[in-house]
Amino acid sequence: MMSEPTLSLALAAPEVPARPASDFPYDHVEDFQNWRKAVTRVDNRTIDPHAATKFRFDPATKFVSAGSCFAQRIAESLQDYGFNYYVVEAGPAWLTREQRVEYNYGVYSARYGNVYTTLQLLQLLQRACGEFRPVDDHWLADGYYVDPFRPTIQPGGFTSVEELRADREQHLALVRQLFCGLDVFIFTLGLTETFCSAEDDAAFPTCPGKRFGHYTPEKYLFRNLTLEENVAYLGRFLHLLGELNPSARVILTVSPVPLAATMESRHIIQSTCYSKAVLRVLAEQMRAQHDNVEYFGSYEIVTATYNNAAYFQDDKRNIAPDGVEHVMWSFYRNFTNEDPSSLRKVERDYRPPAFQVKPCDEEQVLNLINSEFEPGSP
Amino acid sequence: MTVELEYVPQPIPIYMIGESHCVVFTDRIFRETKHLGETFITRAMYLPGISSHDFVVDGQMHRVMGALAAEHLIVGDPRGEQAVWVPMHTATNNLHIPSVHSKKPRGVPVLVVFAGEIALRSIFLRQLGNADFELPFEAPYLDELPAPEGAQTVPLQLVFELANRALLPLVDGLTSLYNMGFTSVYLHCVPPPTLDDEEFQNINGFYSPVRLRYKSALFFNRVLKDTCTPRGIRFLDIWDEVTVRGKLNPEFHVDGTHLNVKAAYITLNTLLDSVVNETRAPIAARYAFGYSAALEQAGPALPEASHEVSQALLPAESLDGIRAGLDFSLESANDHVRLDWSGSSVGRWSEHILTARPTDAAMHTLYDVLYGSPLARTLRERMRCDYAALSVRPFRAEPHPESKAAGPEQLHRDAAPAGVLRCLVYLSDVDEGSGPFQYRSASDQLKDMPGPAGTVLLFDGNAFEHRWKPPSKTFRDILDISLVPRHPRLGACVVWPGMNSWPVDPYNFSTTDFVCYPEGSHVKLAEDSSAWWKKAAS
Repeated sequence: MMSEPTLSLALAAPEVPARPASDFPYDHVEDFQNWRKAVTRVDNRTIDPHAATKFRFDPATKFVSAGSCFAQRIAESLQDYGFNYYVVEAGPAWLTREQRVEYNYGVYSARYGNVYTTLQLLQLLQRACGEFRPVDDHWLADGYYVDPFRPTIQPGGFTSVEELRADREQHLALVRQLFCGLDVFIFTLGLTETFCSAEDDAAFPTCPGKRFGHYTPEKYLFRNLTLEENVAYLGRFLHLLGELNPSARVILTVSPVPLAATMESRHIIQSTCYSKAVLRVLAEQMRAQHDNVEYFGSYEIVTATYNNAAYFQDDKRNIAPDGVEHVMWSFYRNFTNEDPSSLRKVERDYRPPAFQVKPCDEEQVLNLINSEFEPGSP
Repeated sequence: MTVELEYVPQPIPIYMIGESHCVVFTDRIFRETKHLGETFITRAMYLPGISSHDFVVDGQMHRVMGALAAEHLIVGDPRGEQAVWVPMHTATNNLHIPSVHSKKPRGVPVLVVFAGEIALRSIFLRQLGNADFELPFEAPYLDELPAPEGAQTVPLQLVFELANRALLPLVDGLTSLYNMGFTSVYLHCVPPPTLDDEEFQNINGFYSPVRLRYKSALFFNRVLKDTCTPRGIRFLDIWDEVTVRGKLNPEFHVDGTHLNVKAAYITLNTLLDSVVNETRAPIAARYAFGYSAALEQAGPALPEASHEVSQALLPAESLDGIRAGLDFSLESANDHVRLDWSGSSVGRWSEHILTARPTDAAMHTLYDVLYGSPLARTLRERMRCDYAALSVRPFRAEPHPESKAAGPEQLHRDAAPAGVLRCLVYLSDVDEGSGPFQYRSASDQLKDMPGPAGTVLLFDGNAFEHRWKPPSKTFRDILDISLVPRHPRLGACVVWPGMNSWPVDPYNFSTTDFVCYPEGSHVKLAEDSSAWWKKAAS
């Protein structure tokens, strides 16, 4: 007969091996990796969504920027704070500040206007290098001509096709000079949707047909560039830039400005999110693949720091000055050796020089009086 | 006395004012012998360093006005806060009208302004620096000049803007002068710049590439011409004459900057050609003054005419007397162009329109009928004051197709001075085949006015469109008379002034070489200078 087990209230704990000390990865994350430390406990206006960046610059670094509308704010700030914003189309000295803006002098490093897509950026550099000559030479507006690739570059466009071509030729030569001479190129990725020529795939910043140009569905095609296409176009751009300027470094940003309109048959918010997602992934891939490419999180600063009311204007689209200030504070903090709080705006003197009138040489004038006058002789 | 004085006829002054380019015209005396038969003297009013900005109207153009006042061309009191200047030739007070009469009748003084070149060099080119631009017009020889090195092209609109800032005060100032009454104001073109870069830099203290200098000068001249012309300011362009393949001809300059006397001769030729051929506007202020004086003298105001075209009839015997004194053998070319008369240009209207020089007898007959027959009452009622027939022009229109309609055969309104009425007299029967007078009535209908010989039509040519229909079958003879309100200094008269319409100044004109009744001067002018000389010498 089997003996009964002893029933005791004080049961001994079973023998279980002790858990070895764990190397839990999240115990070692930096503060910036920790939501509570990097976001929850941080004032919304000082959230800085960056870790260490690949490179930092000093004020002598030659910055060049391009991209969608938000890129203009970056260019403005760099100039306001006295950084070496490299401008090859500075415009004549006599212009007022308002005229400079109207005619796009100093709005960007050259008068290329907004560059919304990777395809447009690639083709800009290809055109500057003489590798691409689009079929669309000029568009007609009401009483003037516009350059299809920068149709709003100056009020009233161009008075003649000859003037347009001469200006474009000069512009593209200077764009080439710009890419050859820059230290850092900041490109703000704006859109995936674009209209292209059916003939040669030239990408336009705006669809023709309203204020200028003549739209026909046979001649102009809508494209929503896929991630793969964007990767290919931006990759080719980086390759070409590397050939021209091997030491050039590139900072990619994604514009936080939502789409103004979409050609896709879906809600504009969905199109915006899709587009930004593609561009954000694109930037990440480029950063990972290229040592000279870094990503700057302006998109995150504006859209993910819970400052929507303060950072967007009433149209819920354009970025308010507070938002821009936050973005640029972060830029200077992460990409320069300057303490953002020590930066001071510099005086940008746009006053046209005063008119001066120099009288003629009196001696020369007096000589005339002694000249002979013989009415019949000539 | 140990000296001997000889009388020299008083020349007509032409005033050259502005930059140093006017100095070469200092007291040049010459005659125009083909059309005017007049002696001229060019008066140089050099204002050192004057630029476009000295013409700012708000600034009252002190330097310009000072120069004009010194030449007795304007009168007024400049001592107040806001100077009020009036051109002497438009002044309407009794102090100034006789003072004009002390000079030879010459209409509106011709004023040639030299400005724009200093604005080009000292403002435009200095600001432009090395910025290039596309000219909005063809300039075929520009490419022969070396291209500026390292120049950036700037949008044409911005260059326009810069030119606008540099030149607008000048254009505003010239417009102001024109509106004051200087209706014969000319702007001389900017001369071709020096071809020598070093010389330009030495004179101006900055570098400007030669192609930019030339391009800018061409641009300035086009802008000035296109801006001034619609404002009535005439542009004196001698660029082509003083250049060879678009560049300054060495024969025409003294120092690279200033043109020489040979160029001055070209300027004077161009100027006189324009003076002879351009329309001379009547002096509105003087006519308005004369009209009001005539109305005042006429006594209680008569009612204004209630109909558009008044009709009357010429006595048959008068008609015969006038017709007998007309031989329609002259072309409608103006052989009596004069600076003190407004009239058609030297070219004829058409080969189908002829005119005649009336005999003294015909003019006498016309005088009698205009001032002494029952017709005179009709004329005075319509004029509402006394009148003078200052322009009597006989015309014969021979049959020609509508496609060859010329001059007065096109619908038009007159630009007659205040109070002037047109009086047409049919000297032949006028029916549809001989081309009746036609006008657009108040009801917007075109109305024909046929009538037998002796029909008189009286109307205000400014009030509605009118014309002569081209005769299709038979010729048409008429008299075209301009009736001018007779102010107190004007006598009753009939004047055949060739193809001229009316005096530029109803207070200051001559009728020398015209057919007049009564003979002699018909405005109470002060003694002319030769009479004064004779009297003084005796």
